Amino acid sequence: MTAALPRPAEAGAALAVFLGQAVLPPVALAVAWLGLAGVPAPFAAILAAAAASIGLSLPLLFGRGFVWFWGLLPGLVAAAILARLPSGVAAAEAIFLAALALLATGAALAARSASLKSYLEKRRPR
Amino acid sequence: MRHAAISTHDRAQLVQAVDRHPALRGAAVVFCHAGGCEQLRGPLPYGPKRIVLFEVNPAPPSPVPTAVPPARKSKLGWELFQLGLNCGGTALAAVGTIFFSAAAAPTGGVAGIAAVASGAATVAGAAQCAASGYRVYNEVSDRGAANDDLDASPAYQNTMLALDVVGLAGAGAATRGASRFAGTLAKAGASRGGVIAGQALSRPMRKAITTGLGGAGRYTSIALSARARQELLAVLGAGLSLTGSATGGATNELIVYVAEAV
Repeated sequence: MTAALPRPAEAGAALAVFLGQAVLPPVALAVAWLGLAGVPAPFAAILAAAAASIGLSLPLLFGRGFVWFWGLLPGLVAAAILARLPSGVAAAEAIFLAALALLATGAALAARSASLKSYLEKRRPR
Repeated sequence: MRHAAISTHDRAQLVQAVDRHPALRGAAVVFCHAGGCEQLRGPLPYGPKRIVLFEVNPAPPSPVPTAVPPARKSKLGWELFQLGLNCGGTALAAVGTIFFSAAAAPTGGVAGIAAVASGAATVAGAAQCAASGYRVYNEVSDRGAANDDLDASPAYQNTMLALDVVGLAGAGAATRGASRFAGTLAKAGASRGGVIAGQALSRPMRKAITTGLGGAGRYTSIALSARARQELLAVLGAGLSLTGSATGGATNELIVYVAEAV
């Protein structure tokens, strides 16, 4: 029963990558939309983006599926922030965007970590 | 020169005031105010020529109703609270999915069902976590009115209700699984706290627990301790999910029954 159980560090890495991949793209879309269109993104677009990103990330929790290219998430968030900055941001929004960039970096680091590789290796069907 | 017009009522009152004085009755009346003059009445044949009235202390301008709506009070604190509940619950549900899916392969049965229920709750929670992130961003970017529009939208409410129901089903499955596990431990005479803390169990206890869980052979104390911690995580995640629903979602509108045969 214990042979296949992941260690806490492995589970933590899988969790960080899953949450980053599932949640950050829709939020980045909201940022980019406001920057480019000047209005909040429609909720339907956010929901569609969330459904796609969750669908592509869920197999990771079951030890299957692929991990996104590690630079994709920071790239998406950076592009969204660059689209938003020219309109000018207040202090609260700047803090939010900085936190978003930090989370994307954290998820990218977790995606490259040895713990995640070990987790996927353990769960690989033999 | 443009000046504020005098109302018909005021005009009549001024003319009557002039006519009340016998010496002035029938005179033409001119009213000067706000930098301009206006004839209120022409001269009558029998009266004096003309009376000119000056407004000495002009009345303050009446307040003009404005169309500016009252400032919207920020709900950032509340949205951050909801974000914490939704994303925290999702994280715990995801951890449960990771462990349950790993445990499902060797044990099957209960762990497999729990992995599926936990996976569904994770999906619903992740969608709610993303929606909360969107709402928080609306607040910090001073577009909080968009959240008010969402709250008033039936489509949004129904979507959130559906996600809540899926999350609550997962919470119910986690609670039932934990309840069954705790019941098995109790029947075997093992302490829940001790098993969670990693206490070593006797062989007969482990055999009884393994049989109660539908497994074969005899699980190790370490395995049972790991299972107990997973159940604890799942119940914590279920608690967060229920709290999120109770404060902003479906529990207000649904009655959830968690029934289990003992």
